[in-house]
Amino acid sequence: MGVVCTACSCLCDDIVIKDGKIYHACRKGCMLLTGEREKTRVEGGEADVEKAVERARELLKKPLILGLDNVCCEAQKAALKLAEETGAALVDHSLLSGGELIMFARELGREIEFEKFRDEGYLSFYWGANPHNSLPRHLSRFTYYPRSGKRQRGYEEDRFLVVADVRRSETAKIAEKSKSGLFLKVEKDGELVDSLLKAAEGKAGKYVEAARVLKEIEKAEVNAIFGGSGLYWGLRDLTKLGELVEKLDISFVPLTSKANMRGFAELMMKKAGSLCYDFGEGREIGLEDLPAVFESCKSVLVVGADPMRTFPHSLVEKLAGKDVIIVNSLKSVTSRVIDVEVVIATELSSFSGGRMIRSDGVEVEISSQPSSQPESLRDAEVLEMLR
Amino acid sequence: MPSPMEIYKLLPKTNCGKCGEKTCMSFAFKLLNGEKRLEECEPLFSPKFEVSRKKLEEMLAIVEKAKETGLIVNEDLCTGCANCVVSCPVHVEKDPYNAAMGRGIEMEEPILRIENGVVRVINLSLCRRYGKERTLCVICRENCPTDAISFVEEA
Repeated sequence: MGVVCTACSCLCDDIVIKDGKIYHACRKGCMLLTGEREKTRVEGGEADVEKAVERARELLKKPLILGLDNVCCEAQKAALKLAEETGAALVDHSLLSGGELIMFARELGREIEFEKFRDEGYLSFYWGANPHNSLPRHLSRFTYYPRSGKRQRGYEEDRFLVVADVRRSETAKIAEKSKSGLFLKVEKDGELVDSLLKAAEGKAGKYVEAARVLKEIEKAEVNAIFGGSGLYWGLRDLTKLGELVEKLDISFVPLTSKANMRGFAELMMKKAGSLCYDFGEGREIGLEDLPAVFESCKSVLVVGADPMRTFPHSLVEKLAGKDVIIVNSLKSVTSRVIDVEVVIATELSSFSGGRMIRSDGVEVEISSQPSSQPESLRDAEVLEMLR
Repeated sequence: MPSPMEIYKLLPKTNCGKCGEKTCMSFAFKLLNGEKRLEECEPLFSPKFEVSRKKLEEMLAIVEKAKETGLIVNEDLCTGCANCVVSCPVHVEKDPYNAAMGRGIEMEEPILRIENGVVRVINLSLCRRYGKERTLCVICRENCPTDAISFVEEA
């Protein structure tokens, strides 16, 4: 078993680090594994962890706990306990990207494990997703390219790739070039859903290619839609998509790029009944509540995230003037740009170990590995110290 | 990547035959394939063709980087998705339980391997484009969505 890369939700477990080289990890994975590490600091000056934790505890008043999608389940659990105790608002990226699709997939109950799809899947339908960017090895490890199980004859004969997107993404280019692929340039996702539903009834819709998609689906028992955030933002109402998935009798898997967004969603649904929750106010946080939540908090605890890079400017600008505490392994735009009170450096999950849940709902055990920063604590340990 | 016609336009176009080729067009093709070198065109080194020669030197710089099979990998464009490694028929045959199944390649001296986030050419002697029985396989290039892989003769 190699090192598990936690750069995206593929959670590739075949990474080898040897003689200063990283083998098999994509560029995104390498950026994570070799990224510049954070140093524990208090008000700009280097400090030990105890001092940093002490200062952070003083600042944690009605906090917003932000991020959490890239840390292990153990750290997420510790953050949840901390939120309950301090009356914090707990917010990850799921409201902006992927969360609704995770909820949809859980309710629909038609998910398929990536390994099962690799061994048996025929048609992979990427809808509103560009895995080449978000999960770079998804096609080569799990869907289109592997020769595995019942799919031994290669992608030209034994697989079919459909990409539906508003733009000609890198993944779309593969579908466009291949004999066993189809790229659907979609203006309105709802119209494609309608076309596919009509095609299932033998009628023609706006997208004539829908009939071909259905014809390909009939060729095998195992087919899946891999839905990206573009699909949700294109549809908003996923009811008809649910009807379509049932009617075509195919699987649906949400494609979330953040390594453990699924883990956080599972935890929050179990403990709070919603993706994000304000434990101070005792209520669910929706997308429309985010500006007020960012505005009203007194301090911000960022865990394993870079909000300056991943949240909209209209939200992060509200953090100006607040006490910001960062718990992270890598240096981030946020820690460079914002006047941060406390930074607590932690070990990367790929080395410290723990559990994460892949976007298909499969739990992945990450074994601890020798690290270049053995003195760094785990995210979960730091969050426990903050309680 | 320059085309043979672009190269031809910069040559003297006299078909003098001093390079050993019957025509300048034939010489242009062989320049691209790496079978001929600019120095073999004597007239090109006269002051009259100095501007053209310099342009040709710039254009052909990329060809210098091409491997024996004509393969050119632009690491700047590569994202390490490994589509090329997994789809390569030689890897499928020689590493059926790793590369063929989508996992990191484990065979000794593969043709391509992902190292430090980008594809590296390790052992071209296994490539189907190499040797006497060579075929014009383009599978690695066909499945590269960022055009990081190209071949000299396809210019």
